[in-house]
Amino acid sequence: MRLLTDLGYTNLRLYTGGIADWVDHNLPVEGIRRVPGVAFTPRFGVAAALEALGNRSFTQLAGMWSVVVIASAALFWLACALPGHGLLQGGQPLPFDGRTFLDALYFSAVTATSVGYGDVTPVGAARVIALVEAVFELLLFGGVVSKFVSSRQDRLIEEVSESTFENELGRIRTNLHLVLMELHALGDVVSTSVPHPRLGDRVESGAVVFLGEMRAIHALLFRSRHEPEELVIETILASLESGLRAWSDVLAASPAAFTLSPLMRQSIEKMIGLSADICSDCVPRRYATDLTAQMDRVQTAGQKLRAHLHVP
Amino acid sequence: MSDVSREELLRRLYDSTFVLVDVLPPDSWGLRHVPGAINLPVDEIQSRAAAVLPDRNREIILYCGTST
Repeated sequence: MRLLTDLGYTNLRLYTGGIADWVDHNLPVEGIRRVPGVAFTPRFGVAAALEALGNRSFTQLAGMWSVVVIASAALFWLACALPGHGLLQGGQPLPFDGRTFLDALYFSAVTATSVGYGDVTPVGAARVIALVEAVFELLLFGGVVSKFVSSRQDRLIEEVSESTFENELGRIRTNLHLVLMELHALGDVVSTSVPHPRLGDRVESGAVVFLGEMRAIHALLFRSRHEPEELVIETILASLESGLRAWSDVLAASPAAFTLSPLMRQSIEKMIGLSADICSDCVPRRYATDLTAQMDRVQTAGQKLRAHLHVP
Repeated sequence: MSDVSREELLRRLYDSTFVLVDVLPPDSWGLRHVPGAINLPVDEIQSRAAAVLPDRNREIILYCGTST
């Protein structure tokens, strides 16, 4: 607080309760990221193991799979050195030599893929190793498959959200264009001396729709997760500026042509408020100079509306 | 300088006559903030205040984590 006072801010106030007080009273909050720790995260057991596997990358999982195959093969091979343990082929125990390591590798891979031809069979300790290997590799394989599926899903979700965003942009542009046409038409009407019935209603609904579009643009600049192309923002901002100027013209005709209704006044006040936020220094992202200049023009055009809000 | 009560803040939440500033770290702001609040962490006030709050005479309502 003192920091800001030192920087020259004069009208500072403090909400003493803070966010804790706000939340305690169950008032609405906004947030962007998901609350960490609220999602179910198992700490022990098979579910935890699966969760941990799910956090590994595709390559890591494939690597782990290979390591387990080779490590188990080594254990099978070592087991062959003990009488009564190891691997049998055609009912005969395999000798503990270099060639047998290849057999052990083959048996390990056959076990890991849960194919189990049965041409080489384990006895003694090798049976336990084979069971453990089979279960573990099955889990790993499950992890690999789920990884593959979820990465595709993530891509899909991203695509959907992007296309929704594109639609939203398109909608803003179309609506803005329509409101602009109506505004220019209104400008023509108020500039003729012929009194027009229901002009106030038209101005009022124009103001409400325009304010809605302005809110959408404001959200686009401040809240959007996606970054629209600068060219698109520039077009939208140019329309916005032109619209605000048109409002100045229309409002200049008041109160001769129509009287400002409370709703109109309210809408215009909100337009001024929103336009105050649209300037090169206020928006959260950095943009090209042309664009920031355009934002400043929008702000200026918006602030000019204030002059027409004289109290009758 | 006067304090703002929760009731006043709630009543005026959607009028645009003031700027609501959350001075908590970005993580906290990202998690949850009072609707419409902008984020200006305490340790960034010095460097970013001028950019985020261009109008030094506008009413600014600050809040942080818990009662202070």
